[in-house]
Amino acid sequence: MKRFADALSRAAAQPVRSRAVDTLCPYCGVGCAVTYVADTERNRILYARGRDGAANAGRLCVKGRYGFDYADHAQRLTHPLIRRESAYPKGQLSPLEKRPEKPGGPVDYDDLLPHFREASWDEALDLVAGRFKAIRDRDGGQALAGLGSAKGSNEEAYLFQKLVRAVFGSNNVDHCTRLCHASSVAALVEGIGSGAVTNIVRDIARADVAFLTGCNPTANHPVAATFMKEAAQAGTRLIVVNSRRPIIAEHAALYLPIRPGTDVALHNALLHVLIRDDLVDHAFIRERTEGFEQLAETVKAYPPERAARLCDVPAQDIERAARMIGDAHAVLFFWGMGISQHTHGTDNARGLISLAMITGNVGRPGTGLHPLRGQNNVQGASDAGLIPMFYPDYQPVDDEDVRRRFEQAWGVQLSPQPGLTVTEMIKAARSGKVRGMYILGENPFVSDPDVNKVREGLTNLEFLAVQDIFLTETAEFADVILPASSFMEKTGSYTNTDRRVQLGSPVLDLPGEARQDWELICEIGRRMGFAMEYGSVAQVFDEFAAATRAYATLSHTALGARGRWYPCADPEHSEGDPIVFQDSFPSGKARLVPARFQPAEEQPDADYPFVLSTGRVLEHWHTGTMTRRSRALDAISPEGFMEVHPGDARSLGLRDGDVATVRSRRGEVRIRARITDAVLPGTVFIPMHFREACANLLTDPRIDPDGKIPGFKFCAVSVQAERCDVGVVSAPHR
Amino acid sequence: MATEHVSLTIDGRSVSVPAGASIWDAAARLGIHIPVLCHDPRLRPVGVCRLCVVDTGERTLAAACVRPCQDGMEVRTDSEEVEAHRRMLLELLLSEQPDRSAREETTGDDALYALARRYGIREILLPDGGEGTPRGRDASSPVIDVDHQACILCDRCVRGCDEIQHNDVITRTGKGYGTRIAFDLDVSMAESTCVSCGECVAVCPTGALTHKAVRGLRLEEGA
Amino acid sequence: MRLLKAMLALQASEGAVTDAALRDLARREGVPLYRLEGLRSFYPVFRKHPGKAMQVEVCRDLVCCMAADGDPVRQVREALADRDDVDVRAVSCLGQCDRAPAAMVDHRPVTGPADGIRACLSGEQMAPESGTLPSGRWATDPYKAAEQYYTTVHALLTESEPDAVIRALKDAGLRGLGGAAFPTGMKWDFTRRAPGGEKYVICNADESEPGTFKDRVILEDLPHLVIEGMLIGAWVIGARRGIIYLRHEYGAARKALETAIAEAYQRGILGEAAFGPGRGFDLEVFVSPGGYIMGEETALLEALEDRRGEPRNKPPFPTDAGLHGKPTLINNVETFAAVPAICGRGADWWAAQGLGDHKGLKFVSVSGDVERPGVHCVPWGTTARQVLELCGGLVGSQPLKAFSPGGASTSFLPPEKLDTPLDFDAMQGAGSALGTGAMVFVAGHRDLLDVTLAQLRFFRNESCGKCVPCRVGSHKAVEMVEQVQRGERAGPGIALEALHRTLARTSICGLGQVALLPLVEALRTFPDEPSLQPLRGEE
Repeated sequence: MKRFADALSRAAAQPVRSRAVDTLCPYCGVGCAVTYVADTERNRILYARGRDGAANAGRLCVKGRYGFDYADHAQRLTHPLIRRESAYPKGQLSPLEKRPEKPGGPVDYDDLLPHFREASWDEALDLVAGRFKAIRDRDGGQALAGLGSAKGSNEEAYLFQKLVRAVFGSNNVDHCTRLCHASSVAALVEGIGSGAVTNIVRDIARADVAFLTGCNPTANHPVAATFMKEAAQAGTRLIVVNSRRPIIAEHAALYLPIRPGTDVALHNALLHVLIRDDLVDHAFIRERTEGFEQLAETVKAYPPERAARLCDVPAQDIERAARMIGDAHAVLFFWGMGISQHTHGTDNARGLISLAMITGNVGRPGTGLHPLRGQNNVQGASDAGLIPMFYPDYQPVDDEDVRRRFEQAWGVQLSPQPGLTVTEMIKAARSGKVRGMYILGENPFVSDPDVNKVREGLTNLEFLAVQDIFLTETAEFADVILPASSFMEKTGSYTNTDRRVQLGSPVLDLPGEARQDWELICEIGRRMGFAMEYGSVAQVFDEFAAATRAYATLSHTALGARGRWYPCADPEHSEGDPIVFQDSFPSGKARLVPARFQPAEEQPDADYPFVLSTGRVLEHWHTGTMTRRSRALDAISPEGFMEVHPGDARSLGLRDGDVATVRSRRGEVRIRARITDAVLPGTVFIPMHFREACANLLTDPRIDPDGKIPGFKFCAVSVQAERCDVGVVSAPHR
Repeated sequence: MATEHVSLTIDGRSVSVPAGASIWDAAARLGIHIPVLCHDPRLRPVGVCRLCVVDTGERTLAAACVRPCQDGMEVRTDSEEVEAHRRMLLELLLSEQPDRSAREETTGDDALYALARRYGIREILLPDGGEGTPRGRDASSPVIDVDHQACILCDRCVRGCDEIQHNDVITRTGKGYGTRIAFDLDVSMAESTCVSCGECVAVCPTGALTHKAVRGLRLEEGA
Repeated sequence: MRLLKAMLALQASEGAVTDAALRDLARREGVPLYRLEGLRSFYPVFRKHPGKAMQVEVCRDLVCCMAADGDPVRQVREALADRDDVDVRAVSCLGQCDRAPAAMVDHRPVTGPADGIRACLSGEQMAPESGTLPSGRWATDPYKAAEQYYTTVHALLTESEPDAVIRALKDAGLRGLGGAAFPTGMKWDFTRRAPGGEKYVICNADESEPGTFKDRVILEDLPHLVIEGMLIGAWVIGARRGIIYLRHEYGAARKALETAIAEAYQRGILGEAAFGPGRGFDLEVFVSPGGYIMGEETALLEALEDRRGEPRNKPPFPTDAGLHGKPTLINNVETFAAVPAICGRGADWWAAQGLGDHKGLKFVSVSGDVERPGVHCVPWGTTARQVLELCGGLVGSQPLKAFSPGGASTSFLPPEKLDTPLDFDAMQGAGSALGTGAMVFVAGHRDLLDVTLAQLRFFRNESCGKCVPCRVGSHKAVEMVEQVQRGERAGPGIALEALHRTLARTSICGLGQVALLPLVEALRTFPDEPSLQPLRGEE
């Protein structure tokens, strides 16, 4: 006989008082709704439950489910820090290649903390405000720059750009959108007058065909990927284009493994076939586009046979893809950074826009253009004007009427001159044009191309204030470090890749003396003589919404527990518009902009025979600041790696797990090889997250002329096998 | 296009539902929550735990979660006979359970335990299949504990993994009484292609799949 | 079928379906690994690792246990203890109960006691004894010579119409002869009327219930009737494709079927113009990867769709949503084989074959303690006693203790019920069921506990594991009886009855519904049986 040991089970465990908070996942642009259950006594999150959000329907990925514990990591900054005199002249404090043996994060605090001293908030904030003010008063507003973050809320983004514009006195404000979808946005704004997606991800269920190019959704938008796979199973045919085979290709009707950097040729050939075979939507072209003739003329020169040679895929596959697009009733185009992170990224996106337009695949269910946004709030941060050429709502800073309006609203004179982008700021720091920087929640020292140049730039700054939750690689160059709030400790709104504006709520208390980011931005403004007084985050939202048409009807109250898609004319009765531009584009007609194929500038040669592409892995986020401090994520994916094709590995004498040295014209890294035929022969892939094998030591800082985005997906490298035993335990890999 | 509706009675109460709706869904509309372990509204119903059986007057009872309503059906969800079978099914499942449930112990939401309490089950006369936990555990994943002994083969994780997340990792392996869940070609969870999305833990009703992070902590959720 | 066929080919050529082979298959076919693992681990024919040089599979079920007077598997293991090149595996009923104790050596059927198998391994090959009558003697075959084959279907095509066939089947009173006894005409009518352009016809040739082997004989001797029955069925319902789902142990039947199918193709009976120009019908044999449950028609469909053979929840029934969700006509071998005679000679002729009010002819498999086990084709209405006499009575003229009229899923009846006629209703009235017509006679010296426990173990072993009552319940029942046998438990009779009621009412399919039936019913039917005494009572 067996007894049912009900009570026994509960009695065995240690009691913990807990609290469940409905909020969002802090990571990617999908914007999953989640409930975090926190231990209220020890101020830490215990586990996550998927919430029925518009974007995730209760689903989560490993980051949302298990990557929450960075927030209570022992390395959280809890006091303002001021650089000690002995730590000047400035420079990097920790060796980049070193992964500490101690458990903890990627940066060894024992190497860093002796160089800083704890300070009071008043001392730290006065110092920051005073130094910025001094630089501004001495060299003008152009000598200051601010780097905000797409990880912050809409409210923080709004305040930050306001601070830079109204107080610093320049438009030198940007954020990591520059490194992910700036080119897509440039092409979209040029083409249709809006940078936001036309259709939400889940609309793929209504698409006959989905074109997925330059994206790896199972790793980078994992929950969106579940809806894509679901659609594929239900009959949506996926055309997947990539030069590194993504897992989603397993669900594809057609996979085109194109040679890196040849997207324009492919897009032109698809356009060529569609026009040649009259698979276009004449009425749509006539009524809703302009520039078709010019486009048709340009793509005449790209028959599939030519593209087949350039892209190294069979011409009949290109024909087949074109026919699938042309024959379908509804095609939805998704793209990721494999399209945008090129020096011709804007051209890449132009081609996709043209494909959708000439086939009439916009403005209906199951159609549209969807650049898959990276950060949880990259859409919102851009909407809020955290970019150097636009005020909130993409209102150009060099438009006088617009500027007058903002001058009136903010009560200050504003600079008419578009500001510096991320990469330009670093360049200006090196040249001495920018003297002071305020960096909030970004880590350019790992995320930006050609890290050695970034080092020079950061070292050369007269004053750097870094506001973050950890002492990042970038903070090592700071004069003052301000301990701030993690996602888990703040209230704010975030706009996901679908244009869904949703509210995040505090799950944890701020650790130590750390403060809310939005309050710190206001404090600096105030101490520089500009009143930034708000009673609550909701009030900040209201000011932002008043300046931004798409958000004008929204408020924290209106957003409610599930959020709203913008535009949303009637938030009380409607969830907002999952599909936009059904009848017209903000620019009226869509402009079709032809592009000509140009090879990437740094082609492989005898010295650097491989093409390096960088990207991400499922378990990590950007520079690893958060994810590498998550026990779970770090355990699953503890170290960097380089993917290399089996044929290349053989000729290089590399076995799976061997360490190799990868060199480019800009730097070198040592990294473990992973042999896989997911990458094409002649190409290697390195994820960007791992500082000790920092892919961006190698990357090429050349940028796209329109989007100003660096070509992270293409540079020439050499690979050399190393017979070695560095004593790093190889991670289990898939 | 108007949806076709069917009318039926459940425990003597009339209800009209769209054609194709399950008895379970129709009962829920009336506020009748038929006990079930293998079903979750987010998942395709499979009708394997059989706890939701109801009497439709046929030779055998029907699993309400998979059985479509038919016009004129008369359904009993709580007859003495039906309840006796549910009790027996619970005893069968409980007789295979390990001494403790990692779910009940931590988050306190073991659905099998909840039903056992509801049916007032204190002791089970069936042979004890849980003793010595012969089905074993898999602690290889950094985030998920697998206790095969607590698994009731409800297939919720299988559907969560393969049909909700489409990560395509979990299967039933083996046959009959020896059946258990497995990952890929029956390798450990850590060696498998599992991407640790945690959906399996989220849908698991018992202590079979639990979050390692809460192990040993008895959560008492308050405001 | 694609995946299972590929895996069967691997198993045949490599002696195993290894991880490496499955990884390769997964990649080639674009299917996830879990799906292949689910299949490999479910079907008994597959092995993960290659075995030893020789494979001996020994039947562990009732009739073979009776023939071996003990555990035949243990006996063979003991006899082959010195052979380290031989794998001995216990398997479920091989459908060779007329040759019990039965075994397979490297997939060839062998028979006889353990030392016979030893002799067989050392090269003194024993030919399987034929338990059947010579060809051409079966009364259901309307043809005298091979040239006449398929003339019935051809006559129908030119002179009749599908509804007339359905009427004839109804008039003939034909009911499903695989055990479920569903009126055949009605089933054909449902499938014919089910909406949908694409339909299938499937012959269930997967008989696997201990004591049942009549289909094997029909397939070996009368494959043309099965094919013609399917052709008629396909014509009636409008199917273009047919599949014969055959258990893998039936090598001779497979050969006979494949030869007959090839001939039919050659003659244009099958193929692109089977029903006239542009109206084709294709037929193939699918060899089952094993398991009794595959005889459950929806489990069979799952297998044909490359999934684990777990029965579906019904409704919908296959007549509406069968293979790939299309209307599907599934009949047993014997049912299809009866159709040409009914259509050719007429429903009246068929009806007149039965005795008295009973209509038609029935194949019975007879095994157990009888002199001459085998298959007989007898008129409906023949009594059990007459069948026993046909087989020469009990071995050594022993007294009869019990008989099972219909296979492992039917209750044992006492000798006083011997005069019950072969008839679905009459057998039910006598307290059992006709099932597949697998009659097992048990002589007086045997313990009914052993006999009924053997049946229970069979169902436990063959449970697919899909639903809780059957998966756990059948195992608990076996454990409880074994505990009684070991003296660790007393009187679980009431508990077993309650368990039986739950399995009977809540299991998804017939397997769970009947798993405990022979044991629990025996407690009632045989109140004086000494071996059952320890089970009685309340704990």
